[in-house]
Amino acid sequence: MSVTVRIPRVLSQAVTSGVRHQAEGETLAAVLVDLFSREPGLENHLLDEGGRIRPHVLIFVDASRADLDTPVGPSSEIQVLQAVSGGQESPLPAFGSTPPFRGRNPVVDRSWWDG
Amino acid sequence: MMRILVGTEKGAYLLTESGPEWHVEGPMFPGWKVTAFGQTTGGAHVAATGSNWFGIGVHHSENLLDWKPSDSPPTWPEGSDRKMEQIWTFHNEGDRLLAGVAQAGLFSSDDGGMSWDPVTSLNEHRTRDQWTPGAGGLCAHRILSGNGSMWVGISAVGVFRSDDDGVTWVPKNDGIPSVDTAEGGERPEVGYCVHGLAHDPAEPSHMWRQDHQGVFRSTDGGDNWERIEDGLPAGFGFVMWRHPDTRRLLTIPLESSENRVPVDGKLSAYASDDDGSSWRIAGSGWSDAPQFTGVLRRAFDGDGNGAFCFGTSGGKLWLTRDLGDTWQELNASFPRIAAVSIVA
Repeated sequence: MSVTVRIPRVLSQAVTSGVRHQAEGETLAAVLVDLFSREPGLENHLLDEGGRIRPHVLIFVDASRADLDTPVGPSSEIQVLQAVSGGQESPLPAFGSTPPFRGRNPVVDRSWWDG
Repeated sequence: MMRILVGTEKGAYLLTESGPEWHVEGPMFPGWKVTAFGQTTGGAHVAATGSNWFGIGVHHSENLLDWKPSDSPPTWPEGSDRKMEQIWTFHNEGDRLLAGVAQAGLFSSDDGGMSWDPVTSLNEHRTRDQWTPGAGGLCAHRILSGNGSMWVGISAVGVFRSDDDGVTWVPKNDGIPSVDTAEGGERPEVGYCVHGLAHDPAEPSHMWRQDHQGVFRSTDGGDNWERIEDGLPAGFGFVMWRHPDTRRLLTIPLESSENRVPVDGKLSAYASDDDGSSWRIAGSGWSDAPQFTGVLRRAFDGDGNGAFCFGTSGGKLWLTRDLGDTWQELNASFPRIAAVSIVA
């Protein structure tokens, strides 16, 4: 049973077509593996070097924030979102914890501070 | 007909000369930083993209407008605690395409950039635990090669040279002041902040270096460096370029590390026709209006025909077609410019 996976428009450059895709699997991890088999350019953008969901990427299964072990039902919808970070040391809280928002502290991109 | 690729903080643009005007196409890669351009030995164009959220990408194109992503861009091996933050530069070495990245590393591709392998001899250099980032991060931003040697410039670390096709690498920074060592203190092996690096293709061991600490040259492949700032208004900056035929040098001084804009707001390139022994303002055409803007370390390119173009952090492009004798500011504005490439 395939489920719908929606990706942000900004990631459309990494796929063969569109922002709406179909994939199969009983967990989010399995769905992503199936999706990456047809859209391999997505993997690097959603997962980090350790195979974890990137720190600033949020994935929802049926409107609830998901991790790779989250079960996926036959009629589930999966939405990939670009996170907006805040807080202090950790850009995003661990799954299930309380966000430590204490003020605006957007992601610092040091690489562009060279001129 | 000249074409110029411009990589910015928000996408890439292709400028095509059309009579006295420039036809601008783009943005390509909307929403993405475009950080480097290259070309494979097969002739395909390569572009690097980056995102604070979605990592980096490598894309290929035959016509500069339609781009196809690589399925396997450079990535650190699983288990590494390093982040793949940005691709800073591409370089052709024989049949290989090399990429310099942040966090600092060198990657090699044998298939035109479709897949990449880390160059562990440099990436895991015995000094690696002493590599620490500067204001520009920890990036391998310049690769040169010639006469059997290769050089890699790494911000806040220094220049490394390999004379055995990348099997071993030796730091080459003698004569360069360290970024953070007090005068008279013991010289560290690494910790030298190279910003720009150029050499003479006909004599690859003749090198010029825009460093955090000033402007230097070497006539022995980097074994020794000497300061050459006569005529420059400041020693700081990011740009260093050598024309292959006339041997003219161009650089673009900025006031200081703390104030990375032209001295007194007078933006201009400086040229040297005596291997850097003396410098003068390059030609005419510069704006009389204040130009408090910077030029990033990969935001320039030159060709063998006398064209040289640079982009500013304020999003403007400056072009000379006669090696710096006359300059024009192109009539367009872009987001912060990170990469410029003149394409045939």
